[in-house]
Amino acid sequence: MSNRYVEMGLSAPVNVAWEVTYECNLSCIHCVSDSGQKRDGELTTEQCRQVIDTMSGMKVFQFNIGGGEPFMRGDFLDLMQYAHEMGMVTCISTNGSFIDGEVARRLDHNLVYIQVSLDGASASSNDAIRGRGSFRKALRAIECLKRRDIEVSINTVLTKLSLPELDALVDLAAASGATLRVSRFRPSGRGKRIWSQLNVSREQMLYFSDWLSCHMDVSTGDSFFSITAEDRRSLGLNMCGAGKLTCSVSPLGEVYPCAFLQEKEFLAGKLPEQSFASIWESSPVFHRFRNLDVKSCESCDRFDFCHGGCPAIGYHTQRRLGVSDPGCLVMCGIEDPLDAGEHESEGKDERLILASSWLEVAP
Amino acid sequence: MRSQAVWQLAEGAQVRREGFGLLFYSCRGPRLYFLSSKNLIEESFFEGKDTVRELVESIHAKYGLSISHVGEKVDQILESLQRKGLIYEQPIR
Repeated sequence: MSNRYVEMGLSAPVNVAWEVTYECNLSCIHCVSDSGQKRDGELTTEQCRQVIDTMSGMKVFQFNIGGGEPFMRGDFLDLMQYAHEMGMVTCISTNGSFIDGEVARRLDHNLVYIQVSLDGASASSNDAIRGRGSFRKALRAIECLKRRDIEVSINTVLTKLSLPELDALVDLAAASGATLRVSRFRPSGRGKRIWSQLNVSREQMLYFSDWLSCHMDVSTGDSFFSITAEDRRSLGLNMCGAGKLTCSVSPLGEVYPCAFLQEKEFLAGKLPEQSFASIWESSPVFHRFRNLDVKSCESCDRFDFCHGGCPAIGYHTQRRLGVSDPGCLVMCGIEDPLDAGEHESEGKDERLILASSWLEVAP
Repeated sequence: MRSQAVWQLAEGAQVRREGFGLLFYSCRGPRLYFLSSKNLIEESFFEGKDTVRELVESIHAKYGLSISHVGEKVDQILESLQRKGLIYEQPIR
């Protein structure tokens, strides 16, 4: 990717991750948004249309829509129709519960992409994470969407539970006419509470990196650039795009550099009260992310692949920005927050010991 | 140089102006393409209204660069964008 053009500063995001509601009919154990009940202050229909007008006016190319469960908004299909009339691509992340033939008909548009969430290739494995009945509903949704030839991907969050299911998920996606996308588990929302139990170990991440090299048609978006091997280099970002290529809007209109950093200290502004253009151009939060350097990584051979990896995971595990991504395969600059003093190396690579103790934090 | 050629954005492609030139986006990916063209090419050129000749002549008039040099560069850019699936050539009018 031509990072130098991005570093010059873009006039607007390329895409905006827009969570349209906190309301959700499921209670997935790893939900990064801690979704469930609708909250006071969620944007009204008119305010949502203003958001669409604003982003369209600035020539943002794409919305990545999520929630909660977006289809729980009664006005959701109308909002998506409006976004398409304004020329915006919508990539909608959904659990599929509310997608039937009629909804699929309304979604049938060349600017629509749907990601249906599944974390297992069977009802027993998926529903243990996402709730009873969620697997059946997701498959029904995929079926309805594919009948209309709408582009669908199955989105799976990589955890200790889903890792053994990956090959079966590839088969399930192929049989359903969908693609498979694997996204990264992040310790935000409910994910924070269950991070140590579900996050994959370093060895598992290495396995996954090799597995990706054997499955070039499995996408990861920009989730795994810290482990991207040379052969997948052209498939995604090699740097965090927060505040540079993308940002997020919460159901309350709060603007953050990233959907996984919805913390007070990263609140860049609020729509529609504030001008998004001035937030994008002048917010100190965005300036902070645009000037973020992960010094500990700069001398690494893999720096060009990841530029320090995901700041969100670094922040949630170490409570500060500018630290190495703990999912890094090399981990040369990693600092162990648990390191209080001496430790035995027993002839092994000290860095690996530090890293493994960090990733397997005792519950 | 196919001087009478007219070009349009391919399906799924969008373009907007940036300080360095033009930023292309394709939802078939999605992919980004950064074209370092400064102010030489307006994004409206890809709406299919002007021919390549008209574009080349306007650049020549604005910057005094030779027509053959501009034509060659414009051809290279258009071929590259076409190869990446971002634009397509309309039939000659």
